[in-house]
Amino acid sequence: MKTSLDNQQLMEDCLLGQATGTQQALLQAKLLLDPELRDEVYWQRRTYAVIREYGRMQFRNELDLLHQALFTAPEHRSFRDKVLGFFRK
Amino acid sequence: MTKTMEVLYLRIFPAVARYVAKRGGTLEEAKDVFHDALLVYHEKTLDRPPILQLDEGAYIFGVARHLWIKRYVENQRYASLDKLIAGLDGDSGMDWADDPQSGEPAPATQRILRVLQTAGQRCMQLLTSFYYEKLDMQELARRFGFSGTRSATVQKFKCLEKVRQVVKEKSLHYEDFVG
Repeated sequence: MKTSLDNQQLMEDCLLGQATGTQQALLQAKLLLDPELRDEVYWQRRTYAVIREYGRMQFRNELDLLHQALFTAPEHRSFRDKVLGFFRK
Repeated sequence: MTKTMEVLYLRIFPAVARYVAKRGGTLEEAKDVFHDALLVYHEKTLDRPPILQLDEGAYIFGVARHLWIKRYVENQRYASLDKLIAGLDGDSGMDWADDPQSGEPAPATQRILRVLQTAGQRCMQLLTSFYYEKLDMQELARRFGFSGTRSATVQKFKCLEKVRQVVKEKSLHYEDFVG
């Protein structure tokens, strides 16, 4: 089902906690009348969770690159020696 | 990656590494908990910039230490990051992204992420910029070259719809496969 832009905005405002009481009541009413919309709400929440995981994955990848750079670049040799020293003892 | 992260890395990682090494941990374990602590800090600053007034070094070190104890002393290596940090500072975190299917096996989500990395990169960049980095619509329009906030909003919802279809199809396919 292709959800209308209005319904998407309403779902989003409600799911992100940005909806007014009236908007929340409106969504509740629509959900009672439309089982497919209930399904859409469920998948929209799953999608937000996936988007966050994607954002986290990107951030972790960037940190891995930074780690690699700090442990190989000549200008950070004292940092690297200091850290590796803790694990040699 | 911002310059700030590099500064924080150089300043705080040695303390985390020393803490982990003293307790018999490895460099890889120190890196693992430190990266997640930076991620937690990063998300906090995206949500509420005033946290910057806190001592960021103490905060990041504290989260890393907490994660190391949970993962490597209490042996909760496979617990999700959200579970491990729940209630850490009296904040449940990003409620908007609470997964309604949090008991789902991780491989399904990993599989979806791999598909989206190859098939929907531009949409995912747009969606993470808005939902994860919390850019407002004006910044979003500027970054992605839209003529205005209206067209950025329309495109954002088109992407959301497209990604939602992928999430649904791949989740259902996975459930069929493992069920």
